[in-house]
Amino acid sequence: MTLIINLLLVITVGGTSLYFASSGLQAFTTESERRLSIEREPISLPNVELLSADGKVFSLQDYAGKYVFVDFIFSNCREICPAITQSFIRLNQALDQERNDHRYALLSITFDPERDSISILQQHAKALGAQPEKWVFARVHDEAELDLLLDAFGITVIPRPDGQFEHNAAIHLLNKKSQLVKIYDFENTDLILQDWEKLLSASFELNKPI
Amino acid sequence: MPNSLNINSIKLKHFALLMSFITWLILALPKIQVLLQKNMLSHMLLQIPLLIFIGISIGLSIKAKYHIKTTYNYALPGLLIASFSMLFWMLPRSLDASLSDSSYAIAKFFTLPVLIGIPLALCWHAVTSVTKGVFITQIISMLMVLAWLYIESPVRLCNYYLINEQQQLGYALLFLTLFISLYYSSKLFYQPRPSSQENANIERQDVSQNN
Repeated sequence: MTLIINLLLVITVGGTSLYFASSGLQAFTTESERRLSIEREPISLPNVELLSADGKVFSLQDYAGKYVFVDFIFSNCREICPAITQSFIRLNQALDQERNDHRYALLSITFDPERDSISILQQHAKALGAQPEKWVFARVHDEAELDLLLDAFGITVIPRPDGQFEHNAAIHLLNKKSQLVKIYDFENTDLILQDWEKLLSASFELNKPI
Repeated sequence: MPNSLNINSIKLKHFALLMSFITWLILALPKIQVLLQKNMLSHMLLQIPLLIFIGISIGLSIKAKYHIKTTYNYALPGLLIASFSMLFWMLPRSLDASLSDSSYAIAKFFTLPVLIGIPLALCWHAVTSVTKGVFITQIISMLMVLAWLYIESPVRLCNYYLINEQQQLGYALLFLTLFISLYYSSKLFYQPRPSSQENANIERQDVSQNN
């Protein structure tokens, strides 16, 4: 009898703590936890000054009233950023049926402001054929504020010995109040387009449980 | 003679206990923490096992000093506590949190010795060999799954480590687990030695057959 009581006690306490430690057996990694918690509750983002490739100073809050897709890249990236960028191009093509769709914007922010100067970002944007009114490449205006921005988005960047960076690869969606509402796998543009269709019907809100 | 032996073994216990605490303190030094946690391999295959071994060593010393005899009623739940704690620290999230959140870091330094090492030391001898077998099999399968996950995952599972370190760790875990399972499999080849009671029975049977 003592054995059974003890076992039940341990299983209850142990099971409960594991359940909470994995957000109800749904998130085992920091990245999945980040996505899950944002879907449950959107987060407001800090008012960090950004500098666009054409030299304009702006902030995320300036996009209020629009949906913004944000990705974090560095122009030197040889691995995953080009793939995210391709997703952005695909997304842009699929979304921009009418030329003047002002309901969304694309924003690529570099987390390597040391190397990604304005002129490099300009070249990068030009090489990709990005229309500046739709797709902005930007860096933080004040490099000291980079961590503030990355922390808010939950981006962890680790420098590698070969000059590259290990970093989260995702597409972030900001709602019309410039809050972070959802994080997508960058390959999953189909899901983004599905959600977009639903978003256009006004009653739908992303941060409500789907 | 037995008296001096006793004194020596008590000294030994104290020495082991002292050494465990000193090792724990050394591991807790901020510089050593940073050094061991810089690389995923040294974090998972050096720091964490060392903290568990410190717990085992403390547990064994306490057990010997206070003559603790764990009964099965407490031994099995004790091993279960160790299993749950291991599962918790196997979550990539927990490992990440121990790097970014100091309360998790403190929790790691206390729970690994106290909730894994000490229960193992106090409970292991008190369970049946079947329970031991189940426990070992569970650990082997858990480590195998983890190794496979780390080798195959195209994304980093721990935000604070490079993806190639993750793969290295995967292979290291794979070989470690293979070694553990080979070690236990080799026991299958041991001939069970008949106990003296059985020996006596066999002899008696022989005698009766001869008669």
